[in-house]
Formats: sequence, C-alpha cells, structure tokens
Amino acid sequence: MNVKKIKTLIIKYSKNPLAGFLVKGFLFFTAWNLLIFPFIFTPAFHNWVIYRLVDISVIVLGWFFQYVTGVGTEIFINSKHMVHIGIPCNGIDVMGVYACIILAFHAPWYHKLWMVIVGCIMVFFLNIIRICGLSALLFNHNIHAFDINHKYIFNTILYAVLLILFSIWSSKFGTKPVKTTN
Amino acid sequence: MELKIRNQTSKNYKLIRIVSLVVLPILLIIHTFYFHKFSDYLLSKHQLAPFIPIWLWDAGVKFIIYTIQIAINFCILLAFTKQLRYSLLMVYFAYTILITGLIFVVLKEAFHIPVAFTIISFFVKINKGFLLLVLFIAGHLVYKSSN
Repeated sequence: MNVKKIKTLIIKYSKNPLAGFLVKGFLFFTAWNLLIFPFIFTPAFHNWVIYRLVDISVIVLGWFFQYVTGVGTEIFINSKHMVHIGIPCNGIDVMGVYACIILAFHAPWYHKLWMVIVGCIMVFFLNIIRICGLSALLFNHNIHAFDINHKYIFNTILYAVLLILFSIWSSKFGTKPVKTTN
Repeated sequence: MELKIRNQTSKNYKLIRIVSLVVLPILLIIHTFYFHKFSDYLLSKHQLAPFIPIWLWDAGVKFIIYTIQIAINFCILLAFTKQLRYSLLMVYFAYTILITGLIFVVLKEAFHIPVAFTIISFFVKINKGFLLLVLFIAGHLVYKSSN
C-alpha cells in the first residue's frame, strides 16, 4: 500500500463520526491513564474524595443499621470492620473514563461540560450505593457474594447506567453530521 | 445469486450470535470463578519447561488470560450490537494493544530498556477492565445517534 492510498484512507476515516469517536476516545483514555490520573490527581485529593464517600455512606448505612461509624477510610458497623475504601475504589478512574467518552463525542462544549459534571456526580452517588451494598453483604457474612459484587456486578451496573445516560444524552445533544458512512 | 449470498450471510450472522450467546455465559463463569486459580495453575506449570525465562512464561500466561477477556468482550459486543465486523474491529484493536504491551515487557525484561511501569500497566488495564468494551459500546451508540 503506497502513501497516497494511506492518505486517502485517513481522509476517508477522519470524516467518519464513528472512527473519529473511537480514535479520539482512545487518545483521551491514553492521556487520562498516562498523564492526568497519575500526575494531576494527588493522593491528598484521592483521600479527600474517600473521606466524603465514607461520610455519606455512614449516613446512608445509619438508616438501616445501628452504630455505624467511619474512621478515615474504614467503615464499621457495630464496631466490626466492614470495608476499606482504597484509591482504586473511589470512582475517580471511572469518572475519567466517562469524561473521555463524553469529550470524544461530537457535541457543543457546554453540553459536554454539564454532562461530565452530571456523570461525575452520578458515579459518586452510585459508588455510595456500592459501598453500602458491600458493607451490608459483609455484615450478613456473604463473603462469596461480596467478592463477585465487588469485582463484577457493581462495575457492570455502574458502566450500564453511565452508558444509558450517554445514550440518552448523545441522541439529544449530539451534533448531527451532514453525511455519514460506516 | 445475490439474494442467496445475503441469506447465507444472515444465517451465518445468526449462528455466530447464537454461539456467542452460548459461549458468553461459559466464559463469564470461568472468568468470574476461576480467573486467579487458572492463572496460578498456568504459572505453576513453568516447572515443565524451566529453560523458558519466568518473565516470558508469565507474559504467555497473561496473553492467554487476556485472550479470554477479549473473547468475553467480543461476545458481549456482538450480542449488544449484532455487528460482526464492528465486534471484530474491537478484537483487532485489543490484540494490537495487547501485543504492544507484550513488546514493552520484552524490551524491559530481555533488553533491560527502562520502560515506566505506568505504561505497561496501561496496556494491561485497557484489556483487563472493560475500557475497550465501554468505548466500543459508546461508539455503537454514537453511530446509532448519528443516523
């Protein structure tokens, strides 16, 4: 394949909204994982998010259990240690992935801005539900269910909710291209 | 003639979808319950071929494990989008990333070229998690919304 053919191929795919979205999305993922997440978000910021998660989770768990306390990154029910919230569990990584998808989409910047904020708030509150659910599972000694829920089910629900949100938003606020090819 | 080919293609697509829907739960069960056990089992088999460097064996095991992950993602995407070519595009993309990651591992371990851990972990993470799957599902939604 010569240079001219490659050029034609690049021009053809750069006009395709789907190809543009995938390439931009992947580049944003790369920038997020290699630059923004490790260098911009300091441990102090991660801990601040974790403390807020613990504060609100303790309030929510208090509706269902007696004697719920939060100390630092740990949650206790009836003085029994339930869950520890670490940096990978604070949801910032998912917020970043979601923001990358929103930013890669062809829509006006102000719609992107509010959608990123709404998405991040959504992730934060879904994470609280996740923490409360996992604490309840551990309180009832469902360790096997805890493992599966911790690794798979809650993540699947989280991504499913975010994709439904993205689907509704993209169909309403996306810029329609004049001509599309797939 | 054209109609015949089209019917055959749609039959093939149907078959692939049914197979993917059957294969998906099996792969998910293996992945959910036996991921670590299977990985540890394969790693323990290094004693069968001790002349192979441990890092190369480890890389091979990771390749097999991530192949299962890619297969799961492929089945989910195919079941969701019903588009074989698009789902295969994700598989090519995933393998390109996986092989790039393996090249970095080889550069680091065999040639002692300093490669940042963040870079290698990125290539691992993008296949291990649902990142590519989420991106491609979002892409499908973009395609639907732009038409």
